[in-house]
Amino acid sequence: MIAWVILFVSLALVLLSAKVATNTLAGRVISLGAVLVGATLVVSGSLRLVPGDPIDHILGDQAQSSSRELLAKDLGLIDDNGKRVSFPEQYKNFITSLFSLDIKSFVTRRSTIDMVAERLPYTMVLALCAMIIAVMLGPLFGVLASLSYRRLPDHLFSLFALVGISVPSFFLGPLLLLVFAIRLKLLPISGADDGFFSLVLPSIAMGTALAAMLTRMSRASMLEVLSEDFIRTAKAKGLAPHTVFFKHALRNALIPVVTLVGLQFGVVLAGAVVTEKIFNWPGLGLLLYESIQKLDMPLVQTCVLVIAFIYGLINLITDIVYGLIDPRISIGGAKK
Amino acid sequence: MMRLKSRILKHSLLKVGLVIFITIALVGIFGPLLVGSGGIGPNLSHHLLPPGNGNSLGFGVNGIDVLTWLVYGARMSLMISLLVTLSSIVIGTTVGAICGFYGGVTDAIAMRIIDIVLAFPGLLLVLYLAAVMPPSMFTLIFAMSATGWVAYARLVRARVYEIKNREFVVAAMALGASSFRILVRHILPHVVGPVIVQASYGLSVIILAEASLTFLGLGLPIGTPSWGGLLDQGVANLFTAPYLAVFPGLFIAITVLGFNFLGDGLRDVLDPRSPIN
Repeated sequence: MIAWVILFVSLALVLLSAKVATNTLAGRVISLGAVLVGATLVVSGSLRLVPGDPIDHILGDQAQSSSRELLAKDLGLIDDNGKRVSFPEQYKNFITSLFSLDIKSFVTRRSTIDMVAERLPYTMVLALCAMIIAVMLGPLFGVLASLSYRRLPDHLFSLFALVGISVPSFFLGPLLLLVFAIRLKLLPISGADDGFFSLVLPSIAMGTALAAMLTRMSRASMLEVLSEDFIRTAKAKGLAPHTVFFKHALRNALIPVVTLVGLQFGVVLAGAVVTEKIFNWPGLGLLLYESIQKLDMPLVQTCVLVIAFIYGLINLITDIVYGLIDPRISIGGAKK
Repeated sequence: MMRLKSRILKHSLLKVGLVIFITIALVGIFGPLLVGSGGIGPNLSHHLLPPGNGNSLGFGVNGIDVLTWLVYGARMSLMISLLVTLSSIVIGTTVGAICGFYGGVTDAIAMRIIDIVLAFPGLLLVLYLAAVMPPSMFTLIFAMSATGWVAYARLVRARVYEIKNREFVVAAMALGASSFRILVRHILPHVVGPVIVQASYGLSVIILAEASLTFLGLGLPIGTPSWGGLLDQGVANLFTAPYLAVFPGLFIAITVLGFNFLGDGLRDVLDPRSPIN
């Protein structure tokens, strides 16, 4: 009975939050909360909704019925008496253990939240370094390209943008390793034992595609702003070129770039699975990879939800920052 | 139609993209007939033999033939990305058209489902779906379509919503056309262009996603020839057999580059607001 109420309330929250005004801070927070509740529904419901039996998949179809039963119990699909649990009941148990931070890994029998908390700082450092590389290079390249529109530097930066987007990190990573770690022996091959030096190659592998995307975006955005009327007005009234450029054009052109940076941070977190596997970087991505390899479902679910949570949080922060730099948008009811 | 053709031929980026796409497609369609299927399976005496000296492009773990895997991998990548894109377009366009045209409760519910799918950044949801299902081609296509339709649904919904208040739609309504007829005959033709542009970017995203998933051991079953599988072997044997990572990486990068060129070019050609028109 309680289980049905919880499921009903969750569904109602998810659906009704569509009516919440998202131009206030409180509305944004409610909307984010509802989406995250929806994410728990997806993560817990997928065990039932996807075609095929997850227990067959984890144990193979030759497994003894006793071990199948144990696993089904661990996954919350059957109860202590061996009876099949309904979805509301399963969801209630999932949510209760999630909120009491009491999900146990199949393999280590430790709390999955603890395991994630141990690995998260590594991924945060790596993602941050990748973002720093991207934010330092991307907008710079993009602006330089826009200033030399249709001349050689523009073509070179645009080429970098196109190639950077197309070369996947799981190709760039091994290439960097081949050149800098194996041939030149300048940097460590894997792990995180050498501090800063261990960080260099993974951050470049992760940051390049991002830098390319930001180059493309800031070039397009800059070209658009430079062709607008207010720039012509500013030039016509005799302002110094650098005033027009920095105070008028650049500030406006970077607004969409900020959104992209926020959105991309989540993609970086999710993409960490691949990069961390290549460089054996002991972060959340590698933990997710290992847990998928061992079919440690509770750990997989925790990793997935934690990444979705951080992603949602960062988007919220981006929205607020967006409101601060763009006077046309206000979030949190700030009146100017 | 003639104008469109001449515009396509004038756009050099688009031409390069088309050439890359056609080349990869030809390799995928006819390549397997030329190289045969003998090199797919293991041949222990060839374990990790490097390229050259009559070894063509070299051999992988347990002596699989790199060239055979590259050629069959091209077929696999194209087949999967076309199937996923097609099913995403069908689901996404249907949902988007209904939501944009009728609005109301259906629209609100669909939009919430889309928000929830988008709450998982990048490949995360595909990764999770592929992790709870046994590795197979069906799993890959299911997991990627289950998340891929969202982009098309949002795109089509926005376009339909924008077009449904135009005069020609109102005129058709006044003439007594049914709403289904208006949607299919009058509105959807205007959505085709943006959907094609989105699809050519989508193809490159799916090729990357398929390779990443297979690289992580979540995609195709072990032993199925694919670019991602070859790359995985390459990264594991980077000291002894770096060519195993370089060849499939190059194939993936060039294919993705081609689709991106195609997307950029088609956007320029099909978008009436673009400067070259």
